[in-house]
Amino acid sequence: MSKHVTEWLNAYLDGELQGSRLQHVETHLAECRVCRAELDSLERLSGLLDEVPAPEFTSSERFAAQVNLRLPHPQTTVSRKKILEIGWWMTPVGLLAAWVFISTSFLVNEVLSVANNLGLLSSVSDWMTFGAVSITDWSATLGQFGVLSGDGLNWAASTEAFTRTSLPQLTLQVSIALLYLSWIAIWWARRRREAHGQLLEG
Amino acid sequence: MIDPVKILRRAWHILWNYRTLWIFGLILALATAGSSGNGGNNGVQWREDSQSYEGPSYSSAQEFFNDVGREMEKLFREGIPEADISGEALTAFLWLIGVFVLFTMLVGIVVAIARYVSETAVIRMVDEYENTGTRMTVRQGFRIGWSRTAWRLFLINLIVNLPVILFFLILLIAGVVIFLAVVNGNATLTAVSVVPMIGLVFLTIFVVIILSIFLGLLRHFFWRVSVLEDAGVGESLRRGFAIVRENWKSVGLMWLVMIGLGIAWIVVSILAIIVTIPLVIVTGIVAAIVAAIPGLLLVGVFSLFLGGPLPWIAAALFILPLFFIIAFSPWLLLGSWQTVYTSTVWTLTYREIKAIPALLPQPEEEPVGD
Repeated sequence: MSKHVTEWLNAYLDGELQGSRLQHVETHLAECRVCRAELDSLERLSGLLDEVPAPEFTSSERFAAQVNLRLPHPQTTVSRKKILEIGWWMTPVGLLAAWVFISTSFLVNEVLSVANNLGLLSSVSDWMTFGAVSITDWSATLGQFGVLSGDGLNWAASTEAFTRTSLPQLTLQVSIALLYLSWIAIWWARRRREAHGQLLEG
Repeated sequence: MIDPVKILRRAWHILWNYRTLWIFGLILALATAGSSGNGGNNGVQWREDSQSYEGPSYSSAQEFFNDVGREMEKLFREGIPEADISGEALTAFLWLIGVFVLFTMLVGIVVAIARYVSETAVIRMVDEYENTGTRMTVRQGFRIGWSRTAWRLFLINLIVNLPVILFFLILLIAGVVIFLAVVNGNATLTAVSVVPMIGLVFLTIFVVIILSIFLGLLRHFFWRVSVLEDAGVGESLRRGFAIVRENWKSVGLMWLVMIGLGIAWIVVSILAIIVTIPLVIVTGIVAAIVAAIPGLLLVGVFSLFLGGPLPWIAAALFILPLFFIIAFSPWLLLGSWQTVYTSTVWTLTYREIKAIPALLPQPEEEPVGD
């Protein structure tokens, strides 16, 4: 009699054996009482297990999903990070749009001044008569009271005119330029930090 | 995604190690300075004029033009006796102004041709330098620049600037029509009609500026497709747009960085202009000496048919451009560096973008059949 085949009996019962292995187990079972008894006990055990109602097992995908739900919510952080990232890239675009808006405003103001100088807006209400409003109020008042005269008055009038007309435009444009350059500087610093981080990881 | 810093550094290296490009940069700076004009009027002048100007009032445009015509006729008949200028001399001077305008137009055409030849040359020279490491001479540069591509660049530039040109033409025509209608009493502008008009003008200018900025960005790619791939105008527009659309992140990043660099350049150039004022004084003296000889010759020629101060004014008209070019050559060189650097950056960006697909890992091909 050859060696017992108990280690193959489970597979034999499940119909998983094939070929020479199956033939060997069947031949051995026909001759060996011990192995046949072992096969009988396995069949009984299998029959008993079949009678017991099967518990409802959770599929692996569902289990993973449930675990994922119980974990802290990294998605919120990701979306916030994404919003911040979009905001970061939109900052220079917004600054450029602001610059275009300001430039357009001053350009339209100039067109209206020309129209007003040509007398096209003479019939329009006073609040719309661009350029007709005196831009040297303070210096004129100082001149009327005799505080300033001659070159001093001319200088004050020029300064006041510049302060009222060109200075706001200049200030706004310089502010936008400074903000833009700050953005570039931060971008540069971020880029360097990221490159440094990648180097360390490497 | 491209690395802008790497491109900027490489362009900087090329700028300082390939000085033949500066010659073409000088032509570009000269042409750009001539064509950009003065767009920075801050409005002060108009307002000051509005306060001090007290001209005659006209009831109609017809009367205004008739009056101007009468004054001009009188001027050319009698001349300016206070300045010892006869009517004949003034007429000859007017003809000379006409010649000067023709001369300026001719120079403008030559400069425009030189501009597009130089644009082509700079793009090709940088590309060749990157491909083979070969530095070309000025003559070789002109030879590769002088091609049909230069003409294509002009056409592309014209197409890109078309919205702005059209807009200003429409604005000008509308302005003239409104002006004439109001002056002749055919129309009256009220607040009800002016407010929507302002809104419309504002919106249109806003859109046109945004559009021209966007088209200006696209132009870099249109030009490079045309020069480096020898494509026609339509093909360059199509492929250039496709490149920008497919790589909008890289192009956008480079564009934002270049705008920042442009702002920084304005600050640096203001400082450089202040620092180089003594140098400009020296070049100004040299320019005066150089321009004096042909200038005096012109005065002599013009004295044959002009009287009073007119020969000097006419000679100055013709000789001043030469004087300015020599006198402001240090500032022109600054402009040359800026144009060459910008062109190089965009050429390198184009090359980098074109190289991205080749650098990406290729998908493994599945074996055909068994």
